[in-house]
Amino acid sequence: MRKILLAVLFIAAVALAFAAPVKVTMWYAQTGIYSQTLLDIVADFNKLQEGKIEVEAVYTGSYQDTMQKLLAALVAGDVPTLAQIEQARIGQFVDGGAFQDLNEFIKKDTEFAAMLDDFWPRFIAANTYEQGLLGFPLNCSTPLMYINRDLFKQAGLDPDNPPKTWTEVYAASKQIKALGPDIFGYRFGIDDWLLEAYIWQFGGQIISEDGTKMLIYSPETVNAWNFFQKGVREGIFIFGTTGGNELDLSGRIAMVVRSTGSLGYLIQNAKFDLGATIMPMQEKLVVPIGGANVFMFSSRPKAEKEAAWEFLKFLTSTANTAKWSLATGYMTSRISAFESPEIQKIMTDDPRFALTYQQLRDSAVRRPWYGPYPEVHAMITSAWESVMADPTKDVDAVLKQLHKDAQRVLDDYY
Amino acid sequence: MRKKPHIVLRTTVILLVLFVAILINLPFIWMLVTSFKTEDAAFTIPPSFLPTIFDFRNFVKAFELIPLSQYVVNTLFVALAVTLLQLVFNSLAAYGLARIRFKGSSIVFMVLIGTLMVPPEVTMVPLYVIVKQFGWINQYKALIVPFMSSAFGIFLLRQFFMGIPRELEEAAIIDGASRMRIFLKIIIPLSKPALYTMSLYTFLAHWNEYMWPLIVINDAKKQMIQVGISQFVSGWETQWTMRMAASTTAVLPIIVFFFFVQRQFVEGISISGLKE
Amino acid sequence: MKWVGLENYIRMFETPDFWGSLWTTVLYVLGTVVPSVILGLLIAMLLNIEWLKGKGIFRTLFYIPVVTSMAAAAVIWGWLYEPNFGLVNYFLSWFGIKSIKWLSDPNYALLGLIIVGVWKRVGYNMVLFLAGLQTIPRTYYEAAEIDGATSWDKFRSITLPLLSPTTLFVVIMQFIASFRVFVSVSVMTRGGPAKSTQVITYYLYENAFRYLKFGYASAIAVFMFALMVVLTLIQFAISKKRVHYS
Repeated sequence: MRKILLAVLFIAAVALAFAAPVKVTMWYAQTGIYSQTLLDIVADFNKLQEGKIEVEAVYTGSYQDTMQKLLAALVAGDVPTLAQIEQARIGQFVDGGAFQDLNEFIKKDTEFAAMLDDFWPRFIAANTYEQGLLGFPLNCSTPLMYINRDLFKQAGLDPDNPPKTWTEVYAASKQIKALGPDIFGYRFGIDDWLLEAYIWQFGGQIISEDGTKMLIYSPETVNAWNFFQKGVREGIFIFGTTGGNELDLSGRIAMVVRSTGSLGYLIQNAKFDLGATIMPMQEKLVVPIGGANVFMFSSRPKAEKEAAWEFLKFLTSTANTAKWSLATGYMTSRISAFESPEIQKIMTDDPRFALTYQQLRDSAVRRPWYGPYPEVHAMITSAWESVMADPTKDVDAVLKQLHKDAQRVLDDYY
Repeated sequence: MRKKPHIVLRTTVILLVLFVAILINLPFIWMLVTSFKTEDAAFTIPPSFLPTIFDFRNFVKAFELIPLSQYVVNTLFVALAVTLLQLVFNSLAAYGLARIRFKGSSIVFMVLIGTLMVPPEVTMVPLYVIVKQFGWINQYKALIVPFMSSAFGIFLLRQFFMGIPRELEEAAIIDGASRMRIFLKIIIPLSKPALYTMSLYTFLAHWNEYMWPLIVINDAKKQMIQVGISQFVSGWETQWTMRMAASTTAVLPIIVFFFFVQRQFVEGISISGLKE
Repeated sequence: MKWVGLENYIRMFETPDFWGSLWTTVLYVLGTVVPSVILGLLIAMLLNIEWLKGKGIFRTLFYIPVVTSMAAAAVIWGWLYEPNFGLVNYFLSWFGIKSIKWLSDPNYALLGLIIVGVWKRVGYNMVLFLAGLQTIPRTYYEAAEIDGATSWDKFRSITLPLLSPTTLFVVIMQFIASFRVFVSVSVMTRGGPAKSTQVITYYLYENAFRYLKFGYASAIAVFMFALMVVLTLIQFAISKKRVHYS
């Protein structure tokens, strides 16, 4: 009798355990409207999977705050199932094998595997590492050049034919500068992904493919940095580490490069005629992919990871990536979403929104991600600041020193 | 009593104080004004100090988008609990360090002050591991228990306790009063300004706490106010005016609170009559 | 994880960045401690004047910078410092001072942070001094007045000595707060431009949470702890003669 009772209890407990929904935790670093849209998608998913899977989305502050929370969790063995992490910060997680290879799920999921081609190939490439496909694109963007068309007209330039190379940016800036001492041709600061873009576009490189060798000290990079320094020295470019947003809206800047994600905000708040075009090039046509991807932690239990996989598929489904893109201005991660009537309509109404996709197809690449890159990157920023804040400083010497110091960081790591 | 100085001197002093007070508050005034502006009016040259219209929509929107009132209640609870616990533990520890000589008491004190120097960012990870072991993640215990006492509070109270004349206690000791009794009946009543000051600073520190709650609390409904408003305060594409509205919301309760209690700890006591 | 012995400490002492950040910190501490303590005391004494009207309001006004969270304050200051149309340069232009690139010029960025640091702490120190001033028996001043003492005499021979325990506390707390400055740096300058505002806490933070070098960061923390104990011992030793406990 007692045995039967125990058996019944056991079966009941097992049944209950199966009945309880699998809990998936996702950490995200989005605010405002971005956060709201993400939470809506999560709520839809939970409704659909009621009783089976429950996703809990946890707001974790900025990208950097999220890193702090992740590190504490990692040390305590308490990581979430999924986390949204910015591209340039993931290196040591990748090297340490913290992320799950999503190909394992894709292999078993023939239906999804057939659809993999529907993702923008450059997004998939950007998330593919030696360890496999580690991330899924969520909020991705490329940099665009925004133009104050009023200033262009005043200076006698054609706003419909904006500069396509940096040499042309320089020439246009010179003409715009003549409008007054408070007016500048091009504004730039220390945005990390743009620093990388400038170097690449002038034909330079930062780190070798395997991440072990610095390549930054080259005639191409020296040339690139000299170009921007010259603009600052002559007062036709403006360099600043703060107040960029205010300057851009003030109507005194003719050209600036910012994320595609800023397009909606600038359209809403700029009081001048705002134009947009693809980022200028020089030697090479290349732009970085900015933003963050969603990663899964390999140390979580199998059932939880499988549930998280279901959610990842839902999050990046055609309908949801279209919804996300419509609400936030970020890019869709799938071609079918891009081709959907809602997204197409935006671009017919305002062709400025199509530019980022053009760049994505033609020239977008992954930013450096290597383990020691955050430190190397901080060194690059600092060197950049020193030659832009003091435009008489010798670029060649600074870059040479930077190259040496950064190589030491790489050597220590590997 | 003493005579008042000449009216000219008085006016000069008041004007001077007023001038400095306004100067020091320019950033705050700026924040307040901006919170009422529309986004495009926020950037003008020269900067304008008066919004053309008072636009309350930023506040309404802030309250709509996040449960601000819930955050205020949560944070009040945690900050008050920490403050009350610190009042008890800090004052006891401070009294011990101020009055009781024991072997190594000065070393204990030095180490205590040394810990003030260790940035919280460093201790955060080990603290998280401990809190996790106790199973307190996502609970208020994690926000309260580790902060039941603080080196800052102990140090502050010790300094004040040391300023209290020893003769007062000596008389009580001769009368056979216990240490605890002396502490409760003599030291505590005489230290009201210091206790108020410590409470205010403790409350303030925990009201403004951001990183630790972000790390240990996962449930959005349980979150603290600074994390709640950070969705507006930080983030690079957020609207300026919304940022300022949210910041104002987080600051105003404390300003009002301070206005009502400040009298307590600066005019609370005069020990003049006791010193003869 | 592996045991590396003293390697982190050796590396720390060999790194120019470590010494650079220590020096930046020393400059910041020197720049903030003296003005914020003296201004705090001056304002406290002004607000302690018996016949001053509206003390409550003034105290609250001076306290507002203290209660404003540093994260929000730093955002506002970043804006005030904006070189082209920030309020600070706008006011300076009245006196014919040309546009200063506050936070993007390595020569001015630290000064910019020092001003914010002083601004934020004056009210804090004021409250502590006010509480301290309250404990000075009024009878002392009355007795001195009967003896014909001037205001300066009273300040020098009554206020200063009797306030000395508070002053010691304020100085040490201000010293520690300045040494630990972090939020303003991380929001306003991120240690730049060109490392000119890379104070030691920020250096530590970057190593721990951006470069993920926890061992190295912990070595810096231990160094800061030891340094603080030594400095406090020195401060106490110096003040032993000066501080007057009843």
